[in-house]
Amino acid sequence: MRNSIKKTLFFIIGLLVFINSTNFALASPASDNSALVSNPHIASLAENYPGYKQQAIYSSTTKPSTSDTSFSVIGILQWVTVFITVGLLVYMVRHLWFTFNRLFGTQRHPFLDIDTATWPTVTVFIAAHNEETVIANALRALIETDYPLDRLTLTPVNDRSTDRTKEIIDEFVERHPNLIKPFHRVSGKPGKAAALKDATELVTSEILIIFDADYIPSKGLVKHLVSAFFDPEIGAVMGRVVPLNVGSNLLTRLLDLERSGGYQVDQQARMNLKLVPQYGGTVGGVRICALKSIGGWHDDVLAEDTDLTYRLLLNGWKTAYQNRCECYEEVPEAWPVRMRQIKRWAKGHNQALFRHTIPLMRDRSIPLIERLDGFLLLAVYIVPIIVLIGWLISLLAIYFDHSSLTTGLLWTLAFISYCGLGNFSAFFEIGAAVYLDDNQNRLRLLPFTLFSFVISMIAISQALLEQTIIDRLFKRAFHWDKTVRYQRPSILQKAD
Amino acid sequence: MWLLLFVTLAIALALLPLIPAILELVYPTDIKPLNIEYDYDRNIRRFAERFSHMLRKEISILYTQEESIELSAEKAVPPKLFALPNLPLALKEHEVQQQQLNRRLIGLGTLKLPANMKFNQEIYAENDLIGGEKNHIRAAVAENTIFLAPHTIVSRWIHAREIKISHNVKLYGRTSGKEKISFEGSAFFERLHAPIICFGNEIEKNLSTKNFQPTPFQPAVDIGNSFQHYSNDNRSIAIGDFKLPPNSVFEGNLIVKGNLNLSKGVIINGSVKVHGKTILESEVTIHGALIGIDTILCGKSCSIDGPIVSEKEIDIMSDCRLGHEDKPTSINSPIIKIDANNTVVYGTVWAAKQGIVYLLENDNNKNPFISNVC
Repeated sequence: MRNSIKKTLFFIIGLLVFINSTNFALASPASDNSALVSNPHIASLAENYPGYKQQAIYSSTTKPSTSDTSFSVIGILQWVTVFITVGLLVYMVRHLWFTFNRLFGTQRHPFLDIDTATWPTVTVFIAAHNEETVIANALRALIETDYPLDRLTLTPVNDRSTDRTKEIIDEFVERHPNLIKPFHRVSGKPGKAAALKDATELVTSEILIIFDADYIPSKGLVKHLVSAFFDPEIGAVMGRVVPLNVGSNLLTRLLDLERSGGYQVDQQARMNLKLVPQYGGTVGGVRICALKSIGGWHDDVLAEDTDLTYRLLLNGWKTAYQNRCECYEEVPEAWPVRMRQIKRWAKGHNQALFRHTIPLMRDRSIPLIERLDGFLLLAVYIVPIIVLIGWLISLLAIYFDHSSLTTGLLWTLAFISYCGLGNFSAFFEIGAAVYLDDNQNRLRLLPFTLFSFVISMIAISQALLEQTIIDRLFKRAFHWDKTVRYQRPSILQKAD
Repeated sequence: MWLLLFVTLAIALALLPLIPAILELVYPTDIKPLNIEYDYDRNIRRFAERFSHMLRKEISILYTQEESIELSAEKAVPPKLFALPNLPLALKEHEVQQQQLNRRLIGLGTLKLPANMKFNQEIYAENDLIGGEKNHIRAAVAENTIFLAPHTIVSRWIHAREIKISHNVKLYGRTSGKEKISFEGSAFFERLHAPIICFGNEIEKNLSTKNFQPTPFQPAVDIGNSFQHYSNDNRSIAIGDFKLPPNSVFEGNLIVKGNLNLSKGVIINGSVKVHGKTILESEVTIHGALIGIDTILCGKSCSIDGPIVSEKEIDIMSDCRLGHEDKPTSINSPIIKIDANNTVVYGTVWAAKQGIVYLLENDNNKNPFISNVC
């Protein structure tokens, strides 16, 4: 954590020094007499009035020429600011649109009421890597599901665990040999996507539902998730993730607010507006024939969920979000864990951004509004970096201040626009989500989300820097950071 | 001094908006995770079964008691009225005058309700429950059959082995039958669930014969160029409006981005998703689900195996068969209208806002929905 902050501070200072030195370098040639002489009017004045030459040189090196040279820097920065402002205003409009849609719009839960049907065959994956503390809870909960047991298979995907995970799974298999078919993976490429890829090859059912090992699904959850697949257009489904260890510390409380905003408002609004709800990799599922038709899981990605959402979209499939499919998860309780988690997400998401933006924008079979929303969703991990750059430019504006009315107004307007509205519009979503969840006292913590945002911004910027420069320079492969588990029996009992 | 004061004031002002946050952090008042009900399984009969179980237990204890039933009823909390078989209800004078019963009514055997009476507590019948005209029932369970007389209103839920519903009945909440629900005439409903739900008087004699013949073979339809066809996952996507000609067969799942019109006798061996309006003319068969974002109009004698979902409205004409005896299904929409002339549904019908059963005059040549939409 301390290292990350230190590195980021160095980066900011470096950038400031760089821009200042650029300004200095740009300003220097103007002090050269050749520039002065190249102006015929000044040259003639200088020849006739030697005293003027000195004055002219003085004035051109101070006022006009600084103005000329810094104008080019200012001009670039102005355009960058305009770009940032417009970008953030687009996100602002999107966030406000989503918030108002959730508060006042028509809500879509088309599959909520399908409770009687001939249910398709389902395999439930429980992704596990060294999950001895939590795997039993997940299995126990899934055994009690109300899904027809003759159409259900539970497959714990044990990915190279070195703790007691295998032993615990095998104990459950002994007790439920027809229901639980484990997949113990002892070698192969590390990472969830790779493990899922290997396990999926053995699946014979129509639908695949995925939970992480720290999730505790309720009785009706599997049925509820599967109900969306009666729609032949649906390729993937996503449920709502609810933090279980909310009360642990400030971080967990802030993450609870973020998750609320993200699912209760953002995802549901995208579902309502027929945009691009995102498959989130857990508490969700995918239609096996859809998965096969797009070439299965890609094991070279860090965010297999985002990658899958877009590959499905590009192949004519939709992702459905089911807000009432709620499931508890654990959120990180320590900032370094959170930093690692968000860095992995950022890298994975940006990887999907680089891969899918052009195909997405070119695909005319997808409605324009869906393509735009898809792009904005893909670029969501670029926003904190844009904000950071915006803040830096705002600081630099002090150095380059022109006192020109137009320029000053532009700076002010841009600054107010993105700081006042664009930058914080996501907080409206959190506010609306907490209101909809009827957990109103926790809304008091909203100002603290700014700190969380700043830390995320640092982590995301660092991730982008690593991804685009450091990883390429040193040819480092993406690697999977497992999120630390905290689950304790007391927490589970509290939730019960 | 002034500088110090200024700095202090500035810091205080900056921290002012954080005071509620700091207080909530130090003295947390809202730290429980969002409540998720683990046992919620969407069972429509949940309330009724719990109530029935509780009452059965209570009655078994009652039979073993030494004191009289009347005395037990007096002592009971909430107050109860026990009704003995073949005897009129022992209503108090003010209850008769007010035409209201505020006690839980428990029928030890078959229970017959007086007409024009409002029952503000639950009703339980060990055998049949025979309603009177214009009854207003809060909730009722009968171990055998419930007969609802004309103009009855049920405000919460009702459950029995079999439920027979007369005309002009309003069923708010959940109506569930272990074996069957049958509507004789027009009615209002919200949520119905039973292995068989019959709409119309003639249904009994027709159930065994109609709609269950194997569908005749027809040539598969040529899907043409207006499609994106994905052969590897067995689905076709029509970009705009789409119409299938009469008696054609469509293989695989069909997704239509515009409106869909399935002509008479069309057979679809797969599921259908429609973004626009869906019109099924008569005798259409879908061996899969039918999902519509807009309205779905289901013509006469249609047969659909899978769930039918519309985000706006579903209109079902006479003689339809929805679901199957061994493949129960769900019909879900904010508004559902069903012609009570020999339509049968196996499973659940759930109208989030308004479910209407109506009786249309039997005119074989007229299909008002098709003409309205076209």
